[in-house]
Amino acid sequence: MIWNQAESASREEIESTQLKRLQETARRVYAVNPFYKEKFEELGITPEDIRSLEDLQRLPFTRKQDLRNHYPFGLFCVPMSEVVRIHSSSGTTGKPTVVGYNAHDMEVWNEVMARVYTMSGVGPQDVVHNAYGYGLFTGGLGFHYGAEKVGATVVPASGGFTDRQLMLMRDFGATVLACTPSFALHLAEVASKAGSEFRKDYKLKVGIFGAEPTSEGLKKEVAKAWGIDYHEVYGLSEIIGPGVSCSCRQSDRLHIFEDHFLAEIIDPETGEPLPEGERGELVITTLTKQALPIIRYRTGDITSIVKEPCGCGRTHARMESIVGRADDMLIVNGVNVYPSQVEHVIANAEGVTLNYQIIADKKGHLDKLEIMVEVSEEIMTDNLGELERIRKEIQASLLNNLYINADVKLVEPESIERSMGKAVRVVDKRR
Amino acid sequence: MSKSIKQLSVFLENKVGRLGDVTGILSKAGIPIRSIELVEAGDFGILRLIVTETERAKELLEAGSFSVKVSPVIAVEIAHEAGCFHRIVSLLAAEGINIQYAYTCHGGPLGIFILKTDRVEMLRAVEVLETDGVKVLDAI
Repeated sequence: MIWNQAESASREEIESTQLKRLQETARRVYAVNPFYKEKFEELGITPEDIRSLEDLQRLPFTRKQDLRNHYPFGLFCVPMSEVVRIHSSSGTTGKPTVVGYNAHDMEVWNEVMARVYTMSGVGPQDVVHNAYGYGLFTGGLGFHYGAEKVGATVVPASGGFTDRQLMLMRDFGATVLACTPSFALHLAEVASKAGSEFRKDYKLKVGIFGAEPTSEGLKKEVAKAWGIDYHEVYGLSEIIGPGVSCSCRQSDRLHIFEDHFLAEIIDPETGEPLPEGERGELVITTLTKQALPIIRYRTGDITSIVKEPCGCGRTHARMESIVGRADDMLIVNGVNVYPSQVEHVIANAEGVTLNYQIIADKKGHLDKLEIMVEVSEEIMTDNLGELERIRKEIQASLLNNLYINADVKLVEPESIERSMGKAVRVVDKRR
Repeated sequence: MSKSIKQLSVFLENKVGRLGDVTGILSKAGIPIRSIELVEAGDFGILRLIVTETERAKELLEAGSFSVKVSPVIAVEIAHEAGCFHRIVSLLAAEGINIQYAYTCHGGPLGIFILKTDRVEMLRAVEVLETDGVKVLDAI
């Protein structure tokens, strides 16, 4: 099932819609927002210079910092009287990023989320257990209204309270689970305490997961733990929230809703566009947002995009599941390494999130990696052999999963350098 | 856990001064150390401690950014004469109880032997020792 025929339009139709909407968006931001007007002027361009989709590259980038610099509403392009919803990031690394929606934007959001549900095989007969957090975070409400739009029954469970969540899932007959993959796994672990046959008490058939970078291994584990189809959703509040793209039944890649979001892949170092299929930083321009349209937003996420039509009948381009973050990629002996991947390997190996730091250095002509892992209370033991086993296990998982030969060192808590309260993940001594 | 005493294990990197940081925290707080054992494996080690105020010592060490684990260990009284270690070790061996690690502590005319078995075997170990007249301590 496909929610909207726009999802299977021809490439020509997609591109002509995109160009028309890009021109409208450029005119709009230029006319009403001084930040964009100034940026256009610095580059010596006006919206009239956008004559083809290639001209997108002439437009300025927008970064997270721009949103912070204009905290809270400086980049909004409609009067506040028209804004019907505000969401915001937690702001743990600086000022929060605030986003706003008018009534039209809410319709767009519900529309793309309806596509997500339909792509995952969810409809009016389904009960959606929504365990994304409700609140300032876009996850809860984004998944909520999309489910209502396709006519499903939504249980607004929000986060926490594992036992009660499991009871609601059983008693209300949830067929769809929407939450982060790590919470899905946690739910399965707790549910399985009822015995290995616990699945018979649940009617789950589909999970729609997102909001955190996820390794292939974790996806398989979640799908197996619950015995369900795994659909992955991608999104970010700066663009709309969840609903920028979603994986279908035919492919692990995620269809980007191209009639609403114009995606590019660029070299994060030079800003130049990369050929189709190559990995680089995902940059998104909103095509239909009104309260907070964004031009060429640097997501910082690393992925690749292919445009060939999919077996599911959709023609919208497909991106890979996010492989890492542009700001902290390391190249070690020719292999790209993202700290998020290292973090996941450690978490998967030990079942707990441990603080770590990656140190890249040279040994002769070769790169060498050292990974410091803090010994937290969760893994501390009075047994020396056990600690050595943990160290070796992390080292072996890094080699098996990421093909990197790293020297793992156990270190004391709080010994990894912090910056603004967060651990410094990467130290590159080769620079 | 009946008839056991609490031991603190502290994770230490193999660096000059770290052991002194631990003993400094305890000394400043006026907590005497009854027994101490340091085991190392290359870049890191574990410092095992028996102190008089286990919980307070743990809190203070954690506040000083150390990873600390409290585990039960068995403490038995031994005389200063040949064969007394052997007696305890062979009693446990005869019952198939494995000793993971052990160290000693001096307490006046008699000595104290501190040992760690698998957790599930601790109760049985205490029983075996007491049945044979060995004095198992619940505080030192």
